[in-house]
Amino acid sequence: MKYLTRKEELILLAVFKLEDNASLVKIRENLTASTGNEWTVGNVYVPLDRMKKLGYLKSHIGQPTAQRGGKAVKFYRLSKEGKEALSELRKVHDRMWAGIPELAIKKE
Amino acid sequence: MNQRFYPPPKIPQWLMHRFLPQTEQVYLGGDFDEIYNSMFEEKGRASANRWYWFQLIQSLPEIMLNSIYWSLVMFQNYLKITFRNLKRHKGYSLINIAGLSVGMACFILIILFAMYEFSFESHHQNAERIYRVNVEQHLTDQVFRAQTSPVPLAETLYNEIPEVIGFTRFQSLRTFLVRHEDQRYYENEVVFADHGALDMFTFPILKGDKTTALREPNTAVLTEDMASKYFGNLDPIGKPLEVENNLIGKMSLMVTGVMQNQPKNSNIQSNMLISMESLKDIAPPAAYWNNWISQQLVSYIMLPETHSAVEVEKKINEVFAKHLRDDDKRVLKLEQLKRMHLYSAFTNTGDIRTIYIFLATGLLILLIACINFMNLSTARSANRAKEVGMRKVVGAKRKQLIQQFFGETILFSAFSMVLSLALVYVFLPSLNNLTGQFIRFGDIARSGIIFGLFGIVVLVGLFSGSYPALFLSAFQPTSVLKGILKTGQKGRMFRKVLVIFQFSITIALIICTFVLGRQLQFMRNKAMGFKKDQILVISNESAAGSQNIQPFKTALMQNPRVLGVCGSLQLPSRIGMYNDVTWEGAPEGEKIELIHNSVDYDFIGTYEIELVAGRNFSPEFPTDQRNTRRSSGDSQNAGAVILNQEAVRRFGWEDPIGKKVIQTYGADRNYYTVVGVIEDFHFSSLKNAIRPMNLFLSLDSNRYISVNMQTQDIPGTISFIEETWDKIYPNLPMDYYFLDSVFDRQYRSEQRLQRLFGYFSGLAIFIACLGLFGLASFAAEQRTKEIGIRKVLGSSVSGIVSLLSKEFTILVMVANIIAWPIAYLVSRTWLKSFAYRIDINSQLGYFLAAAVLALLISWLTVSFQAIKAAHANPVDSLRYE
Repeated sequence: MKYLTRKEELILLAVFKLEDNASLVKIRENLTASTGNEWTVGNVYVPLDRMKKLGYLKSHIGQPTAQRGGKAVKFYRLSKEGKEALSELRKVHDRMWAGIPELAIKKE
Repeated sequence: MNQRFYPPPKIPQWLMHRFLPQTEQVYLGGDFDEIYNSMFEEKGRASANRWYWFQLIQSLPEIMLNSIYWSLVMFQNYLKITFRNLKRHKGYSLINIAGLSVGMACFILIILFAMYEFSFESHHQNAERIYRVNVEQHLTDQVFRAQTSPVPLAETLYNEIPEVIGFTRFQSLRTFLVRHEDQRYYENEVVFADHGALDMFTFPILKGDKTTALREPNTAVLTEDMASKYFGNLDPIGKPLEVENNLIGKMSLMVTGVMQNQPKNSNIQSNMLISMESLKDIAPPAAYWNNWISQQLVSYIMLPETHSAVEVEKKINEVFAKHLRDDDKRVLKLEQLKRMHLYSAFTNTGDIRTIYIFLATGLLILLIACINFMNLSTARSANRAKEVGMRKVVGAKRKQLIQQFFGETILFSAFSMVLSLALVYVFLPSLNNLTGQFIRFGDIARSGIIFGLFGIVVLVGLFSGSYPALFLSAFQPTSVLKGILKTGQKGRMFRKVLVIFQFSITIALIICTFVLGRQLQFMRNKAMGFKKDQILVISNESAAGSQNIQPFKTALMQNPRVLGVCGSLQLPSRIGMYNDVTWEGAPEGEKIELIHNSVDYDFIGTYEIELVAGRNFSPEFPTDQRNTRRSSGDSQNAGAVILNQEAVRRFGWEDPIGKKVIQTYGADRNYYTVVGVIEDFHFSSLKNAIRPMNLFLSLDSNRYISVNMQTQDIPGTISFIEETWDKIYPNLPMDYYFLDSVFDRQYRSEQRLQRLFGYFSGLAIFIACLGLFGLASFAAEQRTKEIGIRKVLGSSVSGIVSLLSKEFTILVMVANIIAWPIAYLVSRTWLKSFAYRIDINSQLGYFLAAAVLALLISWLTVSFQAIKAAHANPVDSLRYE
């Protein structure tokens, strides 16, 4: 399997967590909240689009709202491959981290 | 929740609309707007706006790069498929690319040719403000147009009309013998000019002072080449130079300037300008400087930046009329320098119509090549249908398929362009040779043509891809993949129409080439009325020209190979001088313009011109000599004159011998007695009708010495003539040529037209046959099984060949029917420009010949494929059935 970049991994996780509510705006809010960094729309969109083309994500169109100037919204959802990729990543992470004691950062 | 929508700022919104990928626009745009609106509510307009702008700047490049990346991925696939197709169907690809590149090369060459013609005089910065003053004269039955004008005209206009802010006269006095120490050459491009020439025209001065160079008498400006020819590496400024000819005798000059060599794409060619002032003391005031009657030089005037040529033309005509006699009906016509080369009715230089004809022909040939492409790709559509079906099944939109096919054709056309540039490189020298132009391959890179070439690639790609793209992309995947689509059936009618179109163009071109060739042949072979072969002409412009050449003549006549020698002012092939005359019994005030030539006793004999009445000039009649003393008063016996039949006809004389022709000089009248009448001969190109002419006797007007020779041992005779010349005129070089070469030069533009058309029609038929070849091989391929079955059932090879050729034969026949009337009309219009022409109706055999030729070539092409198919073993084609 092709390894995802860190950014992509974070976005996949955000989509997973947001479940049915994973629009670009919500994903961005989520990412900003959990990483503490500002994400631009492009930062979020480009990996989303790439993962959609690679087949990890599916999208469907939601209702337009007034807040969006009457424009429809696109929701993302993990595909089967996306979920597999995430769990694979999880396993790799766990295996890599196994045996490493809690990183205690000593304060001196 | 607040349901109000705050619209984001206009400019970034527009930018987004412009640059976001189309498929994502709605959603991404919505995302931007949503975030903007929540920002707006939280932090207010200013910071929301700021955010929006920053977002745009940060995100747009990223998003755009992303969409470009993904479209490149698809493009990669298109490229791969294109190259696979190219490799798999080498034959078709070759036909397509060969046809297209030949067509393009042809088109590019024609564009280069046209651009060169359009570039004439464009190096003159004032080309739009400088006008040549031409003279037009409407007589009862004809119009005379001349680019020459009276000497005092230009200066008078400059003095009397404020709009005329500059003037230059160019006085050409034929060939000069130019001498500096021991360097002596004949120069043809020596011109006398006013000092305004250096201000008005762009003759960049390299050495010397532009403002003073041509002001003083006996000063001259040379081109770089001339300077190094006469002075080598020395600085020519201030050096002496001597010029000499029979009109002005000897003149000593001082070089005051060196100018850049003049570009070839100019009709104002001069390698040596001599100040007009130098003529001040030489030319007689009455006959030259104040002569409003004869037109001896070319005048140019310059108008201000903003001007109306029409109004100035009105004014200059008013001034002109003041200086003319009342019965003088000449009017002035202004002609812009920029338009002189292509649009002039006064000179015979370029011709805008020829250029349009060429451009149209080039376009048609390119069209034929494009049609090949369309035909072959739709014919083979079946082979691509499965690919189209598959692409559609996996989700390709029609738009994407159209893009793919256009991309493919553009790639093909780009490939052909590269090849065609190679062809242009190879054939450019031949084109230059043919047209007498000086185009270099490097010019393509320099001018804007390079963008034009790019445009051609795209246009050709789009045009030839249009039908296949729309046609192939419309396939329904279900029917294609089920195999319902009959191969190559669709668009069959369309292909037929295109083939007919291609062959109509080709056949029309062939016919026009034939007719052109016939007319040229007719002109070259038509009896001119005088001998023009084996006549050697010695151009005798030096002072010796005005001397008696009797010793030279006598010495030459010693040789039995020399049949005759004569001296004359003009050659029979050239019209240069006119005389306005009246005649005995003429109605009051009626005048006729006679073409004038002064000849010696042997002119008629040497040129073998037939005398139909009276006698030749003869030494036995001393009164034959032209009495040129024009002191004052009438001269009842000014000499003898010989007329041609046309002149006699125009005078309306029954018995011309002994009648008088009257020439007027101001108030004075000179009476000439007609002693003989010669047969009409074509003294100039057959494009013009025979005009009335007269011959005067003059023993010292020997500008040209003509020698009539026997056909044997011409080189020997020429070296004999050269030796004799050197003995008698030891200090003069001998400058000679053959008369028939002058004649052929008159038809040069027609010859050029014919040869270019020959090549064009050759190319057209080549490209059209390439297409036919492709279609025929396709048809044979499609019908392999049918042919196999027919053979099994006993059909003969010839039966199958005729089966396959029948369809194409019918197409070519139909094309003939379309081409004939077109070719008939076009060639009839063209022939009308000749006074002596072949009758188009007598040339209908050539129409048939063109038809037969086209049929033969197309049969050859098709039958090659047909015979191959017919000879194939049916076992091979039916084995898998």
